[in-house]
Amino acid sequence: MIHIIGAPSSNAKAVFYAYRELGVDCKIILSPAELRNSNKIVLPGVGAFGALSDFLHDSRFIQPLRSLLDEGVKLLGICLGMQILALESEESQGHKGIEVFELKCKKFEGAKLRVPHTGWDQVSITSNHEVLEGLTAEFSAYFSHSYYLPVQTDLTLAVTSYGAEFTSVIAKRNIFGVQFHPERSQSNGRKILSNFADW
Amino acid sequence: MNVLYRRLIPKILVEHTSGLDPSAFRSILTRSYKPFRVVGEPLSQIRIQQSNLVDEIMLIHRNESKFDSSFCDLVLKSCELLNTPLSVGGAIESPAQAKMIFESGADKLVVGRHRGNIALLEDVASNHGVQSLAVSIDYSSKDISSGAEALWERELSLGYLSLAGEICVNNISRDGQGVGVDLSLIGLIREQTTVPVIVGGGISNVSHIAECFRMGCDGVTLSTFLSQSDQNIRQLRSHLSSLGIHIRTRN
Amino acid sequence: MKICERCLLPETHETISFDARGICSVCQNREFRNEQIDWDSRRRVLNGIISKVKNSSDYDCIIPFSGGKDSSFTLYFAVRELGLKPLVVSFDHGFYRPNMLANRNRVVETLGVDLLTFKPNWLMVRRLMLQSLLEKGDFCWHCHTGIFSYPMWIAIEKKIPLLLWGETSSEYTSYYSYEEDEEIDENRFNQIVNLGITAIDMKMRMGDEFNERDFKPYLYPPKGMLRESKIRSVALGSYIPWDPREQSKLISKELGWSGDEVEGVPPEFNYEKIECYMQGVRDYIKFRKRGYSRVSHLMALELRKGAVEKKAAQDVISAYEGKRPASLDIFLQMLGISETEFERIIKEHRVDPWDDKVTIQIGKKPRDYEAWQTKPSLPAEESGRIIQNFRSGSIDS
Repeated sequence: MIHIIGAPSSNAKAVFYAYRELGVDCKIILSPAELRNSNKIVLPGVGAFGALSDFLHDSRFIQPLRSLLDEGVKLLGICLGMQILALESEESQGHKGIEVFELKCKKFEGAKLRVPHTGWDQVSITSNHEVLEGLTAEFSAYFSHSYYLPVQTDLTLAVTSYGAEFTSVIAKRNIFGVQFHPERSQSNGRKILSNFADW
Repeated sequence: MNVLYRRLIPKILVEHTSGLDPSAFRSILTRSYKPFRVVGEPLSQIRIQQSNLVDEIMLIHRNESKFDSSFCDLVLKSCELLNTPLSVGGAIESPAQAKMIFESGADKLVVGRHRGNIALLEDVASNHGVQSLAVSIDYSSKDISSGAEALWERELSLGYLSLAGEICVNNISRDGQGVGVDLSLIGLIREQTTVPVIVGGGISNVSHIAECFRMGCDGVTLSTFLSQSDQNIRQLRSHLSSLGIHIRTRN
Repeated sequence: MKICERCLLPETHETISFDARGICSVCQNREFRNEQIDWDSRRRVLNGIISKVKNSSDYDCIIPFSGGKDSSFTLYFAVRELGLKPLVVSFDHGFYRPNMLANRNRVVETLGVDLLTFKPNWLMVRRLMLQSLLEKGDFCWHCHTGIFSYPMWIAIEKKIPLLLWGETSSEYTSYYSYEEDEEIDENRFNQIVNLGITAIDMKMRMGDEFNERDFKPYLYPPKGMLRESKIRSVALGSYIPWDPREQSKLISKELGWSGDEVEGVPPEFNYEKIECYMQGVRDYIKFRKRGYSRVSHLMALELRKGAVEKKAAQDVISAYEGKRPASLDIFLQMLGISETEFERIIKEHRVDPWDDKVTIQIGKKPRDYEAWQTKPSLPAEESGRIIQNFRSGSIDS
């Protein structure tokens, strides 16, 4: 059973439908109490870092999540749900992330650079991982974000180039994060969701 | 690469059927925005387009007068079967209606007639992010008769530009006519903004599409061309790629 | 028009693209096929699929059968190599040629298998032909969709767990590469088969002239239903290397399968598309829309094998391709339309950058032409009304 955290304005439903289509048991959860006995968690996120941070803190998700992650429960963070795993973001000063990755999210900068980075772009795999099994070394995925996680050599598994190179896939032990939206990235996205379910 | 892949976006225009079921919709083609031919069942068409590797689907409700809440059910059903970005439009006038559409699963809202309603746009942009708001400029030959600059000045004066994550440009007179796309506004928009531009209206062959991309458009919407020609998105992709356009050819 | 340096296929071929050498995607795919596919491991996968279905039901599998070389070979392989008990299902599109029917009898009687034939309502078929010609410049919608949908319903009804088709599409186009698993499923149906129109859509496009029951043979069963019935649908060409020429020699020898004279096709390719007497019109329309047709395809296959030189291939194409087929007269009469109207319709479906500026020569009548049935035709006034309606926008306000 995959538990999908249903933060407000997140597209948890889209992830839910995607898993249902794949024939994987899943449930959208709205409170930390439902996290008990989780063995796999998905954290989708859309919108502002501050808003998601507030939700997770106010709804008391942070402690239970951190415990489960320490125990080795696997987590997939999507888009903002990946960024929230960092320390903080330039987007919402003063708001803390879950602090799994010792990184800070930065804003895309560049005179001619169109922000947000919205649309299909290329992901280049730099290190292999079970969750990336079956994908080609360069694959396309759907992005929609204005902030990004910089590249961290030992953690970043795949990069995308937009202004600068940024992390499109990151992993640390039982935690996996993707900047793009697998629930909107057609067969590549489905592969990742399916691999995560099997992981 | 600082350039995203160019997008091919089927536009699925829906309206209620004239049958007994008040919640039944059908997908249609228009000519100059007037209903012209039935294309089929919206969910069937959405499934077909998704199989054909589209970049995004635009679902527009043709309702002339007011917001239709049964449309939200259609959006929901579409999202249940989609793993492709979905943009939705159709007489959305208030933040509450916009919220309903997003909660039904849309990734982006397309606002046309009410693009001057700054309060609405501000609400959508702040609650859902600028990238989830597309503004649609639908103009006739009469509207552009004093020139593209004059038209663009009028649009600028509406004050929505800083709130739009995307601008859609549609020449009503060319819609469904297959005569090629009106690109007269594109140069101006490209010069003065960095917002992505989607253009539509009049495409009937691959060179029309290539021309749009070469002029700097980020995406094109396709309606009549997909329903009435023996071509599909997969074919267009390969053809455009051979013409040097930066476009996905496979997932 | 840009053409492939190796196989001469033009840019108007669906899904073709070209690399820096000017070699097309179909040729490149073929390179992969020849060099990188481990056919032994693929055959093992097939054996695995077969072992799961054998003796699990009244029939081990369905072989959709047209009487052509591909389905005849597939049936032969299923029975003699794989030892299966198949149900042969034949969707009669309406245009079977006498030789094809004779072939079918010889093949099924020699192999010893059960055969089910389905012939859909002709009055509806001719109406569908006209509608799909108007909508898409391709009159074969009923056949494409019927061939792929109808056997699925039989599989569900009779609880048969496997459908075994013939060649993969990667032999001809680039919708799928050889590396990908080409399941013969709804996804493929929506890309390659139904011209972007499902049975539900077609019913609506025709203003509910026919109802849901009428459209069932053309409707692809819903995913949920197929999942529940645990039905698998695959192409034999995914598991063994496909060679039409060798395969047709084999079935001729083993089963008495016979080729035929085919409109607009060189005689040495008498194994190609023998089963339908509307094939000539189909090929002609393709030529007028895209500037190439069946002969170009056949030459492309030969060029890729290295069996012919480019100049010789070009000569064959020029000699045979694009002639107005005799069967066009039958077609026009059947649908109650004039040649002028026909010209008007196909002009609207021309694919860029082909300009259709050609002088058309007349093709000769094949030997069994007189046996090609003239069925009840659509009256000219009725087809005139249908076309008029379509042109003026048939939507009710």
